[in-house]
Amino acid sequence: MLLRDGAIAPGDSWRAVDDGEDLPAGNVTVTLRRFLAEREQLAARDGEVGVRINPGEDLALAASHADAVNTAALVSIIFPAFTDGRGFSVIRSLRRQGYRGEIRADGSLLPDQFAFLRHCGADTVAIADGEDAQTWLREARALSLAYQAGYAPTDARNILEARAQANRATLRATAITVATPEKT
Amino acid sequence: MNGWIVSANDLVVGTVVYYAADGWSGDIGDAAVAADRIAAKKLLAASESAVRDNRVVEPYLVEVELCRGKLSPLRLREQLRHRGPSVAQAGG
Amino acid sequence: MYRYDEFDAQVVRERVAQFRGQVARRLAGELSEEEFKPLRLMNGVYLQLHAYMLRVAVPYGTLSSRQLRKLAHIAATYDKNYGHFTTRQNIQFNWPQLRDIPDILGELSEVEMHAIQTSGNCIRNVTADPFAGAAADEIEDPRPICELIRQWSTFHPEFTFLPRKFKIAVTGAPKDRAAIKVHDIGLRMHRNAAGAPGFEVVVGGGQGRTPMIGKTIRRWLARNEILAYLEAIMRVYNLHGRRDNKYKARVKILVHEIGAEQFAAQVEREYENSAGQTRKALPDADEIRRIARHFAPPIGEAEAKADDGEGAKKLRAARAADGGFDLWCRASLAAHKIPGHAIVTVSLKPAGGIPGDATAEQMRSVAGLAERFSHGEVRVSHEQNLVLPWVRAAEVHELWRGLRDSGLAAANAGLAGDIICCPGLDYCTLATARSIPVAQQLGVRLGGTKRQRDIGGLSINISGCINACGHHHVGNIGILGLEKKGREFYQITLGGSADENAAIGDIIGPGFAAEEVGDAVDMVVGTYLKIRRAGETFIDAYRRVGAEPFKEALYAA
Ligand code: SF4
Repeated sequence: MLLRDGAIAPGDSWRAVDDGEDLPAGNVTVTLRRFLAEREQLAARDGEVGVRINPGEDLALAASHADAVNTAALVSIIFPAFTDGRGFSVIRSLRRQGYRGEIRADGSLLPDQFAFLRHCGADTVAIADGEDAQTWLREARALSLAYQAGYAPTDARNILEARAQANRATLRATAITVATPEKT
Repeated sequence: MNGWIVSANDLVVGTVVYYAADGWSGDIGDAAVAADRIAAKKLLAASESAVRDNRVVEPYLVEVELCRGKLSPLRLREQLRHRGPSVAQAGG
Repeated sequence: MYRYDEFDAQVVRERVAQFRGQVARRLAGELSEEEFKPLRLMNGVYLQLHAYMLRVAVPYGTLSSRQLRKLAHIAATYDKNYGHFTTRQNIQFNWPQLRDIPDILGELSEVEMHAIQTSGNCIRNVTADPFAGAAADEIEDPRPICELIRQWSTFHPEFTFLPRKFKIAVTGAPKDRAAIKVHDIGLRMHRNAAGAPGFEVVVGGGQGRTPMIGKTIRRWLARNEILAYLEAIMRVYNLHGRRDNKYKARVKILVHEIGAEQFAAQVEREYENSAGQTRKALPDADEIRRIARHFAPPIGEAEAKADDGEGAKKLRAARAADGGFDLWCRASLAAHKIPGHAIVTVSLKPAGGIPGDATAEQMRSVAGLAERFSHGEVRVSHEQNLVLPWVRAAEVHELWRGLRDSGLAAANAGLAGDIICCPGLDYCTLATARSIPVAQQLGVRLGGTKRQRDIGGLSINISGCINACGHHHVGNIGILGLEKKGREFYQITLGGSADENAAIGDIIGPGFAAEEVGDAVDMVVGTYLKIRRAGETFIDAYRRVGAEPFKEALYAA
């Protein structure tokens, strides 16, 4: 099942294809290794190509091929265990290196992590069929505020932005000029 | 004579409890005793059904000594769990 | 002190509501223990030997009297009437029932307190110099930075599932009272060549199984760059810290394995990459100023300037007239930034007592005394003592009488009897041996204040297992409780130090049985007294002569 923007999304047609397996028609995801090794073959076929990144193995590779990865239609981050938080930084790094396509979180994850994933820049989360999507959606809304500015906008209101707005409003109201930020 | 009993913590309150013939008890004297390792395994398995009943947390086997009808755990850790902290408590 | 605004308050309220729901689901059987455990740990709830334990954050060790009263109320209402102050400036309650914990957290939220991130593999409660804002030697109060870090690290979306826990300590003074070199990150304020205050960034210190002194990866960093730079450190650690072995997962191992220079280079690269985004990002200067305003000293400029030396004179006279009071003053008073004032340490180490424990009544008395004498402010030190930071010199004597009435006037702060001690096997499920009885035994054996004064500054730190919550690695005398063949025994280390000259103690030889530890410590202290030169403290003497004379005394016989 797929969750997108804090709601259940219609399933889509991506097929995960293993290394060495024949490429079927339609949209496929392949491992990062294959994605880099067979770029031409992959580009020549019909259907979109996405890449699967396993933070346990692909970190250096993904970083050194940012341009190639940026062309993928989908990047799926496979979390090996919910306690393994590397994926959060991978998502964040992908966004920072300019990747604009869909980022999907997959693998072992907890409902409590949904909001964090989106905050880091993931668009979708793939959850196992047996799981209760409602729990995921509820947990995503449990905390309505966030302190970290510069992360992707989500339903959570950003506290620093809200404060900055309030500060500006007060300043306008009292017509005090804004002091220049501290220089170092 | 040595044997094994099953101990855990009460889910709601957190206190130390022992697996007894008719459920869980705070009194080590009530604990069901297994005389050998095979019986101990069975006892632990039986106690684990109580975990599913949602009464206790993480039951495990505790080796005890049976001396004149009294049970006392062999390891210091279990003796302390049984008797409480060995130091006076500031509040009490 | 920082006061929550509506947003801070809402963050904590929502967290309490969320945890209330999680506890209800656990009690109803909808969550298994396996599923619930990570959730409860993220809210500071442990299951210890006898009961649940709740660890409440005291951010950077700063408490208001109102908060301390609330802690007293919780101890009296939901626990066995006492609490335990820890080496991380937090407080632990040893006996709460799981069903009560949501209510406890609810009560705490009323006074702007919480248990968020006091456990788990996340950025833990940030610690600081307990004298922050008041110390005479301080460059600047580090607490505005600490509060920024507290907010930034709270539910950080990227860094809540790190390889291991992560501890940050900050000091604004050259004298390190926050043990910053044995933290994952230590920030030490100093001035650069141009005279601007900024932070030296030390990474990869720590205790536990593999004790290490942190390495400097940045000599000077402007204050407004701290969060972006921390983010770069955290990202490098999150991506590259080891996850294959729990014992090698702390950042100190990463720094050690790839080397401090390589680690620094990676951080700088990450920082440069993200600089465009994060340097411009919030919090902006207005927000930093808003936070800093909360930490303005409660003593006004006018009052500070008006000091005519009368208070100090009065204090001197009282000390001259009362020897007991004078001894207490020598241990408990520290120099203040503001003339006519003193920083007062309240020792929680009565001889034979449990280090760091305070009863509800004692918490209330300290709260009351803080209101009368310290502008309602209290600190918790990593030595497990309390501190009253804003006391008028003229009122120190009266404060002392109040402390004495509550059994809180032990005159041993900074002396041998000021023992740091973790809960050990009396409470802790990870312990290999008891630690409190050892502290109690030593506290009595070390003798009265006069003898301790003669021994001089000496730190004795005791842990009940290799996790080193009792900071034994950095005690001048460190004691580590272990188990061998079902019996407790204690390994002694010498020469550790937690200050700006931080050092890890050396293991001096085979361990001692519980009943031998007292004699062994006596022997160590006796050896020091024999070899010391005039004015030489224990640690200085040890550094001069090394372990040999001590080994000889302990093992030659
Ligand atoms: S050092 Fe060990 S025994 Fe002491 S509190 Fe920490 S984990 Fe428990």
